[in-house]
Amino acid sequence: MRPLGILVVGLSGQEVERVATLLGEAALGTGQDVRVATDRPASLLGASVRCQVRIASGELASPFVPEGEADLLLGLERLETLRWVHEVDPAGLVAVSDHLVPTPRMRLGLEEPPPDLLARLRARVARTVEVPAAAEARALGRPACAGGVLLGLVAPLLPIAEVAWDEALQGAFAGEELAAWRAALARGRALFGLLPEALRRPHEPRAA
Amino acid sequence: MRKLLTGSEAVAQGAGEAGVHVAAAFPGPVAGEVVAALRRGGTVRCELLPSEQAAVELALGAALGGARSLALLPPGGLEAAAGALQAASCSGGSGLVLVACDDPGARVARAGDSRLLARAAMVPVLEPADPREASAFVREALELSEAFQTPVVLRLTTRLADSAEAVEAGPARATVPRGQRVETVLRALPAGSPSQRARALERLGSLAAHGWDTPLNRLEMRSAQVGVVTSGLAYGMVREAVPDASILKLGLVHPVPTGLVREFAGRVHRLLVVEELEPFLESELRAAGIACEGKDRLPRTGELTPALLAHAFGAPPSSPRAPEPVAERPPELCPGCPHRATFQALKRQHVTVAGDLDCAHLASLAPLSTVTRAPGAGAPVAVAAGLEAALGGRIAGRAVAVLGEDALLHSGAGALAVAAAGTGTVVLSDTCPAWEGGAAPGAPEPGHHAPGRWRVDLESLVRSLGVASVRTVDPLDLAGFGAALHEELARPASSALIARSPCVRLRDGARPPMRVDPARCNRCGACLRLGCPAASDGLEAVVIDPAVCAGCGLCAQVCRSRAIGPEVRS
Repeated sequence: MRPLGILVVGLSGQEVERVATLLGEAALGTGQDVRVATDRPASLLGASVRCQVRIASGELASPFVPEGEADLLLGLERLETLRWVHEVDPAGLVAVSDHLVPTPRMRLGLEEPPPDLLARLRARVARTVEVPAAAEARALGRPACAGGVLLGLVAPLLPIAEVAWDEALQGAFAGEELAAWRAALARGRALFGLLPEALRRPHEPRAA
Repeated sequence: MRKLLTGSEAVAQGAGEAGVHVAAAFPGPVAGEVVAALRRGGTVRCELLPSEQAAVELALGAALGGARSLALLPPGGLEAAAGALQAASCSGGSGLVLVACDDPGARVARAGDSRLLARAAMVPVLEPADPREASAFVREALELSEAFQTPVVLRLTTRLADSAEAVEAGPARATVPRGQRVETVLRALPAGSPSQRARALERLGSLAAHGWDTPLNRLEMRSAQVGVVTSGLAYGMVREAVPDASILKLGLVHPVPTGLVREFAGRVHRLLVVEELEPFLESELRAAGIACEGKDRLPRTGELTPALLAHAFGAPPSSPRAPEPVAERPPELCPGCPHRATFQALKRQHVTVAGDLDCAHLASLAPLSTVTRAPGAGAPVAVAAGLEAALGGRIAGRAVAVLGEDALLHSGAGALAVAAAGTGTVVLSDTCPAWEGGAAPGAPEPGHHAPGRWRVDLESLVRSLGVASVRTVDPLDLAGFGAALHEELARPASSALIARSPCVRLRDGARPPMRVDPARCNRCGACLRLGCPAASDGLEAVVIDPAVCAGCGLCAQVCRSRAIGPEVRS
């Protein structure tokens, strides 16, 4: 079977690498082979970050998702999601958080955030879903868990066992932080249940 | 146990398993992450040093003392440590591995090629193709070093250091250094003799012969149509781009096993060399009279991608979907960063700033746009002195060197001892714990300020170098710092202004966020020009995002309408 290609995008400081690693560890725990590649951000906070995660039942040779063939894009920030959406297969799925961090020019009032952002995402990938991941994470008292909500949302679509998700969380967190991430994933799973039927199918890649 | 490890973490894992006793690091991207992982492992003694050269020399000393040792260098580090690499090569350090990193995408450093330096120093180079090999090659490199009495370079790329896969994690092995007689150690240190060069050449010859049958080099025969010589992460991309190509995968990339390649070339119709950066393998093969293709099909700059490779192997040029036009997102200083205050004060003085490579280099971008020259670690003092030497009176007292404590220890102190006789002003920004510039992925790097990091009394050091006036001011007190800067610039003698304020990531205790009173704000934009990620222009007034604001209060200090103050919590 063709490897699954997933992109996780956002800003440095948003735990993008953490989300990719959790996804990778969970897939590993389910017996899959995993490779992850991270674009090193240009500053500690607020710079664009992209992680490529590949999951396959057989052995993978390379961590790079072929251009334009990602099955899934998890966006922790709206503008960054728009920046990378062209890398997603048009029949794939985009899950984007409701969070937008303005660029320096936007803060100075020299540029506006695109008003039609969601429409532009949908024009590229029809199966685009926006979820209030940032709001849910804030409600849990840990803004850093927004990625957990996105992971919970797409978890039912991935070849990953439920127990492997929890093992991955336990490997990364303890105490209150672990509880918050567990709650975030649960919130994501609950949101998945509310999605229309068309969005609750895994991506079926085109025949090679 | 299998665990998802990055290339950096895998090197640390391999070091623990191979019984490495000492790791000497110049902390920075990649090297800092290996140190952090080593500290979590706990079996390897880590020493942090303020220069690449010192890191290699400490590791060399440890190797001469009989310990398996690593020098950990950030991207560009081997270039900076070239002299020490030569010395290590001459002394034949056994059990010494230099973990060097190249950055073909130039994300954090100049895109130099370490293999060229290793060739100049006649030192062998191992190049892992994935994190699994990065872990295993630490032991391989140490064994090679011990067998051939030579330091070995383990060459990573930032891309490999940042990519992760499942690595089998075995138990760490604690070792006791063999120990050597002091006279033996001292004899081994090079004083320069023709016989050393002859020995190094002989060693290279033996290593080239070793390249024939070492399992580090792997021949995978498939179709006879295309043969590929490759190494590093490119190997995996070649496997996917042309699954039926025969591949000679090199783990020992210097000296190039030309005999083995010649045999391989005889078994395929067409030979292609796939490597990032310089045509290193390609030129060695051509020099040996082996016909091959390489850089005529692949770029000499940037990272290789699956699409570039597919094209090199004859696939029609890919027509990727055009990206959506999205606003640029240049890197920025963190909210609350003291550098912002330092550079705002410098901007008001209209001076020429020779800057450094730590986070402060971000002040070169709009809207602060203050640093005009950021040449290299420790260089600003000498560069500012050079500007004065060239431009004389036109720039006298207006060229300021700004550098951190680490940069002063790296190589700035020597230049400052000379500059102290002049009238220049140096701002020592005592903020960044180390070379944070370039940014580690994820959390702030705990390795940078863990036990073992050097601490110096900056004031005493600068005074002892002969600087006439030394003052310490908190840059977040913008008015006080600006006045001090003004005075020191006017002083007809050398002066050092120590801008002391902790990195916002290390500051204890949260400060209340700032808040704008919309009734007073006239949207003049003075606060926005500080380039703080927390402040943005709203419809009625400037808005400060309390979730982002670090409460440094710099915006309140530049606001003439007194519209900004700490949020009062009821």
